[in-house]
Amino acid sequence: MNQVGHLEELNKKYYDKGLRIIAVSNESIGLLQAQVVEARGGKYWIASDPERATVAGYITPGRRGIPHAYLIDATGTVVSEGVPDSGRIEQLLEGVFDPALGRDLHKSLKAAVKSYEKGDYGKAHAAAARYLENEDRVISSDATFLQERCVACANFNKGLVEGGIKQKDFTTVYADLKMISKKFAGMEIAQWAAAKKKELDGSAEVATEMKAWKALKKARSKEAGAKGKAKKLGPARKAYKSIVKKYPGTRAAKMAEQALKSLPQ
Amino acid sequence: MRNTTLSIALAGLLLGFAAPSATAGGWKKLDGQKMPPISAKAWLNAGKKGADLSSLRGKVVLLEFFATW
Repeated sequence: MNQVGHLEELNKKYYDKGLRIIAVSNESIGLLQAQVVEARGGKYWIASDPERATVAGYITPGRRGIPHAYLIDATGTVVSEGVPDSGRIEQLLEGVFDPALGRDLHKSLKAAVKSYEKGDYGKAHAAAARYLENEDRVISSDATFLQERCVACANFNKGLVEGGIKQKDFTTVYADLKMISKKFAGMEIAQWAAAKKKELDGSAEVATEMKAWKALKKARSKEAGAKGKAKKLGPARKAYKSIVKKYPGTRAAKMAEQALKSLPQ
Repeated sequence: MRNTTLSIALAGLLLGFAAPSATAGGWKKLDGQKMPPISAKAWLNAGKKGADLSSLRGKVVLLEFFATW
């Protein structure tokens, strides 16, 4: 049970700063409810995965060795593995946008703050704009502050999109662009997102990456379906090989190559 | 076994991530790759609709495989 205790400590310490903990076990949901949530007060996400569908993506079939952790940065990229380290977590959290305002704003901005807290940054930005020239300096200053927070959040998300493009993670990039156009409607970044989507839509390279990624998802599903049984891994192996051959140079092909190496012979 | 695990965990906290040889045990090296999917159907603490993994975007995630024993 010691191995679950440290997760709640990390959760308490870093949740508000942007850390999200997911603990995956192959034990039953009832046991996890009793042993982790009720007995230890675990408040982080806990997944019961008796079929080992998730762990198949992380460990060579047939091997065991828990606990084992992966640390993933704000862009969704795995940055380290092994035993969670507070120093590394703090370092990564420094780059995460913290939506907390840190102080109460003037009551005139109540509606704008409400929109901001709901994550509707475009609406918050527009609502705050009406108070920028207010005669009351406190109000105008708070309105400026709120708009700055909206812009900071926009810049953070822009960074995520640019990082995703660099990694050729276009599925996520498209999802991010859709989210930006919705949550930041009316702000400059929404126009940027629309232009970026148009640019990506017209790219043959992006289209190939997207097709390859779809094929990789299917191959992974076949691998998970084999549940680590070497005799049943044939279809997954074939699917991975097909991706390597059909989509050379893509991100999915590189990942398919790695998956092939990790499959048992 | 539990004591050994705890010792490795404490060493990791002091020294950063433990050396791969100490904990790897068949775990894949995924540095630089996108987090592989989490496909569990049963969740705790994740709300009535289950875990919304898209909400993790922009957050730092610690994914741990564990057991209660």
